[in-house]
Amino acid sequence: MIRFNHCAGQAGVQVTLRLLLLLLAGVVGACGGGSGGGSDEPAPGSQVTLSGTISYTRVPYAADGFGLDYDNAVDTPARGVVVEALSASNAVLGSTVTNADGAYSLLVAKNTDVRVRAKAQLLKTGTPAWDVKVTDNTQGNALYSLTGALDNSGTADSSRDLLAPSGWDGSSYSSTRAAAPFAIADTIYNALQVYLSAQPDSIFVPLEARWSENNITSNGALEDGEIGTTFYNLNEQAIYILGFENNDTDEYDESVVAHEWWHYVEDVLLRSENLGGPHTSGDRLDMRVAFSEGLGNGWAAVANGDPLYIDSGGDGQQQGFNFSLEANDGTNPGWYSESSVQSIFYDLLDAGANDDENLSISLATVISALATDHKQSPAFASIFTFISALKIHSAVNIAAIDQLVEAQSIASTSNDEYGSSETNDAGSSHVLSVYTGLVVDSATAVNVCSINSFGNGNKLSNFRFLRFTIANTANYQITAERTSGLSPSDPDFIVFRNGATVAEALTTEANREVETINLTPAEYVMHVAEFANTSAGGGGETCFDVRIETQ
Amino acid sequence: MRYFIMLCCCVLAMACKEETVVPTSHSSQQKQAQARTTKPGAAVQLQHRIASPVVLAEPVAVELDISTSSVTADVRVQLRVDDNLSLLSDRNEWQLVLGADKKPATLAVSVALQSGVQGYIHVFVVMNTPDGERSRSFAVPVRLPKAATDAPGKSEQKEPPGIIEMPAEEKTY
Repeated sequence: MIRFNHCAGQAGVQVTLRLLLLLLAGVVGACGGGSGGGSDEPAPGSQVTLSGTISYTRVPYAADGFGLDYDNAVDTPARGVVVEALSASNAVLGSTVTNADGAYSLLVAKNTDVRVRAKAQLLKTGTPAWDVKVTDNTQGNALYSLTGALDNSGTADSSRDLLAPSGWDGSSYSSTRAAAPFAIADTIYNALQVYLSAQPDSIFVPLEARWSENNITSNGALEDGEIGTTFYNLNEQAIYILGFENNDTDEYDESVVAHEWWHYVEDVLLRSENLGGPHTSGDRLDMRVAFSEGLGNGWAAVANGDPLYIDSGGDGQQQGFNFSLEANDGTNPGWYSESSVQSIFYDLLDAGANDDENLSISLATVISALATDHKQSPAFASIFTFISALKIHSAVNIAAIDQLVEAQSIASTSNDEYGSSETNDAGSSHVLSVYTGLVVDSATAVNVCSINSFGNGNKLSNFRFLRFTIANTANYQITAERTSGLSPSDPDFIVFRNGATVAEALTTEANREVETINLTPAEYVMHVAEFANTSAGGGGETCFDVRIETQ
Repeated sequence: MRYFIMLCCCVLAMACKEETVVPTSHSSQQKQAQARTTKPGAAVQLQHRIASPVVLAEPVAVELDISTSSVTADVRVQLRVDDNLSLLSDRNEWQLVLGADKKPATLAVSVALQSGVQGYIHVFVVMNTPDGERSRSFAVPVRLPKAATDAPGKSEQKEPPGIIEMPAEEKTY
């Protein structure tokens, strides 16, 4: 078993992840449990207890890490889900939440026709709080539920256990895939508990996980299921999840669901400057993408207690790929590599027999660094802001952190949140410095080049980074003007302050982009890009003079 | 993120609609776009072209352009179709060498929609990378023209349910 140190403080006691989860889940289950009730609650003595368990059939990954293993499917408790007692007319007679064993207990009136309904919804109010619904984007985002038969409650306590079957008949899905929404909910429940072990008072904004058996890898209308791939939508706080049989299904892919859940957490609790788009190990990515995706992969391993990231798919869900977070030898390592980021993140947290380095920092410390100094940094979110923040929160481990980071060809000793000491240029003259300094009213413009040598859209140096300091509140004109490369060119830039967009200059004016903005004293960063390098195909090395002038 | 949705829109426009978009401002489109962070997968892209309008039970030529942003990569492409589609081509598997500096590999296949209004060609790509295999699935819709599927009486929309009730296997005791 992989062991993690989840306790706060440098001398936190290591406990097994699964044991901790059980303890936490028990606490949460105890807190969330309720009973029948409401204003129409029958008088004591006129009620009976209706109890039981809610479970779903989980299809595990195949032992070799490729595809799903239907032969070893396991009925698994549905933890933290809402359970209701319904009358014959579907009036809600009582509601509660299952505990860590999937157990529920409701008080209902004697001799009443009742059925039990379990919603694919995780709900907890107070502190901490969450509300996660698994819905169907092809049916108006309706909430999935599992329903039992109408039966009389009788005069004595009784039990009803509900199981959500997978719908698999040995060769295909031939009946309702009721387990799928509950498998998704349970993976998220697990991720929630691990996160709460580090940040116990977290208040999560509502999240929808939208899954359908029609969700397929074709790009079209979301309501038709043509979602393209599994993704997190920052505009909706919703995760769209593939479910089309023999194409790509992700409902049982704990790695994928946990990865996307991390993007949700970055969005609502931490910081996200991920540009999105395709990404994989070996890519030389925009550092913001590399950081976010690397953490997503690393988080999946931490949350699931398994260093193997697995994504099943293909015919019969028997194909796919996997990679180990323990691997530290990804190609093209560096500050622009998601493999490097995930390797660092995982190695910071792992411990126990399989740990391949001597460093283990508590998840609480890591999350605390992400939620404070990293989140508040004026620089873009990257491995540099994270490591700088972590060194503040885990000062006794600075030397070990430096060693871990530098093993991935990333400067760490004496480096800062801007990556000022970075020397890894990926073999290009248009990569370093990470940020180019811009001085207000300087007689000389700075020249930066946007390239697509590493691909388009979200790759290294599609966007070039600049930083400047504003000392006085005033209007400032920022100009990016072509000096070489594509002609005509289409420069674009966006100015940020502490992760928030201050101004966008994204017109299609040829060769030049100008924006006048009122700025108050602070540190600012901006990215500049040739638009063609940020879109599909085309583009090329294009250089711009950038200047900022007081108006 | 916003830039990448622009990218996706461009891909869609090129691959499916063959429309020319001439924006005056990137921001106006980007603000309408949805920000999406995707799961990891093979660094492979697929665009497709369908030569002519789909007619039931008649062959349709489909071209699949497969490309990569990786420097070079060996890829294996497997193809299967939904039950209501017939794959008329002999091949359903290819070995390709892709590269960021190479033109996309074009696979030409022929299919026929035998029933219904649409079926999917499922394309499964496995890429060999120095870090191991990475895969990615794609689905190419082969569907009748919209006019053919908009017959009178077929446009009635069902009210979506607020809650979907799935039957449980229940044990009472």
